[in-house]
Amino acid sequence: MRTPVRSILSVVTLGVLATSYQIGQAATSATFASASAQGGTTTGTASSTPTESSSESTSAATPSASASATQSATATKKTTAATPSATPSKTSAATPTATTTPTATKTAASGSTQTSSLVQYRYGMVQLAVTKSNGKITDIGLVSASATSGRESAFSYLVDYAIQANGSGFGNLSGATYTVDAFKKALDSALAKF
Amino acid sequence: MNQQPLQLVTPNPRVRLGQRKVFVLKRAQDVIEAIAWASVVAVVVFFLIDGGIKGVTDLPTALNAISRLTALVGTDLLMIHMLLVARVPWIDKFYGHDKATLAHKKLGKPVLYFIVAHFLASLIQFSITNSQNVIATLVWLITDVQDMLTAVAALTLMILVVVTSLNFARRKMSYEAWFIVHLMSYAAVLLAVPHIFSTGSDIAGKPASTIFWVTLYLFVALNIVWYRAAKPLIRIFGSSMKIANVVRESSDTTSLYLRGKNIDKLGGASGQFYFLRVLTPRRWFKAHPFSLSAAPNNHYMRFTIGNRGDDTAFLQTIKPGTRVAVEGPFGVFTEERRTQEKVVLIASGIGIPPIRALAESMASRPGDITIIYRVRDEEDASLLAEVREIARIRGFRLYVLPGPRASLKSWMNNDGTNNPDLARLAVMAPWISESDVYICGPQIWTELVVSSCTRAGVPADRIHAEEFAW
Repeated sequence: MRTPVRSILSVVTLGVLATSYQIGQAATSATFASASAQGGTTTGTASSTPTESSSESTSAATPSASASATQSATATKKTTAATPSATPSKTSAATPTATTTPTATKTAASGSTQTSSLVQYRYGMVQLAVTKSNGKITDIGLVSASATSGRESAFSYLVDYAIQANGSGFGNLSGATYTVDAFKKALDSALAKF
Repeated sequence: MNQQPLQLVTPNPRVRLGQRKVFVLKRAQDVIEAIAWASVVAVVVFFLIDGGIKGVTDLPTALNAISRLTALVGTDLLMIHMLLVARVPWIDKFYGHDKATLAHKKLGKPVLYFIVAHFLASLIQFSITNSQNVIATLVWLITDVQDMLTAVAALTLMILVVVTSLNFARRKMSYEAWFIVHLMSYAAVLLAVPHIFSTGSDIAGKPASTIFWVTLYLFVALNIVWYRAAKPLIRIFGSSMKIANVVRESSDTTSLYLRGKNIDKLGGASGQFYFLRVLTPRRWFKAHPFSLSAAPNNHYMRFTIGNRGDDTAFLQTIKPGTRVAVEGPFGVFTEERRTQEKVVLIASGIGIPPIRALAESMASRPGDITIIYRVRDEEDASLLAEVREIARIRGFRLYVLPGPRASLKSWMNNDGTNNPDLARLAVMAPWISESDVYICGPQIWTELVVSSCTRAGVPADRIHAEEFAW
């Protein structure tokens, strides 16, 4: 390669990498939202969202909304979370369903959050961010939750079950036993940190 | 030695010369290299946009990031690595088969380092998060995690392939053993595919990455299947080449005349080479590269083969009528690379075939072309009579340099004087600095000639030398 071309390419590369680094630091939710939108069957559940406008009702129904809601729990965004006037996230415009998502739908600002260990299992891996307030689990964020062949749809149910049972003492989900076990293992490891 | 009078092809009078060719070539090379570079940058960009760095908070997450990044870059480089030896025309045309193979060799170890780093980082990360020792984690990975058994098998194969390709191992192994091990690298790549899509966290559920990787995999796979397997097979069965005539050229060289169907459609140019396979049960899997020793014509293909033992020894006495397969043409040692009116062709020993073919087909006026032919013994020099005849008919200068070399650092013969090579070269080819120079011979000899030419003022892009590398 000729030297001038190489120089130009290096500069452009540095610029592109720096930009994508910035994007990555700013909005993790964007890609995660699109990730679970792929999952398809995931239903919005984990969002004990602030009472916010009519857009909330639609976004709760879309899988991506719930995903980004839970995802935001993991990050350090809790400071902005308490404000009900959450601004719609434009960075997550990659998927149309994600555009109505408020960046922060977390109510858990008063509780404390612990991150579980990363549990690798047969069909993927699970890592959770569990928020507890007054001794009760108020929210569970999926830091990392992958599974194959439709098993990813189990996570939203598992989040619900765990919040209801306030721990890992809930039953199995048939057809996703390994996923349930991995989820419980991760949940226990997070709860042990409180 | 030749029964019939020498029949020569008519040179292509419309050959294009000029520096612009060099510019176009370099531009094309830049584009290809930029695309390859961009593919590496793209996977890093996917990783960064996904927040790959952001998630790093402690040792396990850092290891996870390292594991993902090395896997992405390593796999992308692996695809480039495989494409380089797929004999893809759009690579070979701009770089030549030899340079592409050399790049392939250079890339082998870095690819493995990336993949091994990925493996070790994942392993340590899981053993930390699962608080188990490394061995237990490995057992758990292989037995319990989906598609990880095949992935570990793939890694083992890849290590085997690279180790057997290291220089010291290559010297101890036969070409066939090495080739069979090398074939397994395709199996290794295929074995590694499932875990990328099932367990990998950078592809599943990410549309942009999925499209990128699936496209890349398909693109590389199709290129390999088509250019490395399907096209050569179609050609073998389409042309059914046979050895028509075997002619002894000197005490240790023999010319093979090949005939077959559609020989005029084979393409190719003087200076290019083909891989030759003898289609007998014991030899069909061995391919050897040989240069055309006569310009492509509608009647036959001719290769002149030096006896260097092993299979070349067998080819000296091969029987007419034997079926052979040719794969090619390869190489950029052709008139396509010529930019000047004046040309100097320099050959040594069994390097003569492509030079002989180029001399036959290069467009020229009398005096444009100078041939320098370095031989051990003028009486026993391969194709010398033909080269003399061509030089006489077309008005070329021909210098034959027989006998032992002048000194250890010389690429010329001992002519009784003590003149340095550079001075003698200047006498034989006074306009060498304004010429294209084509050099074909043993590697060390070629390096000496190239250094002489460079000192005589020939720019690097007008020195054409090609090595057989496979």
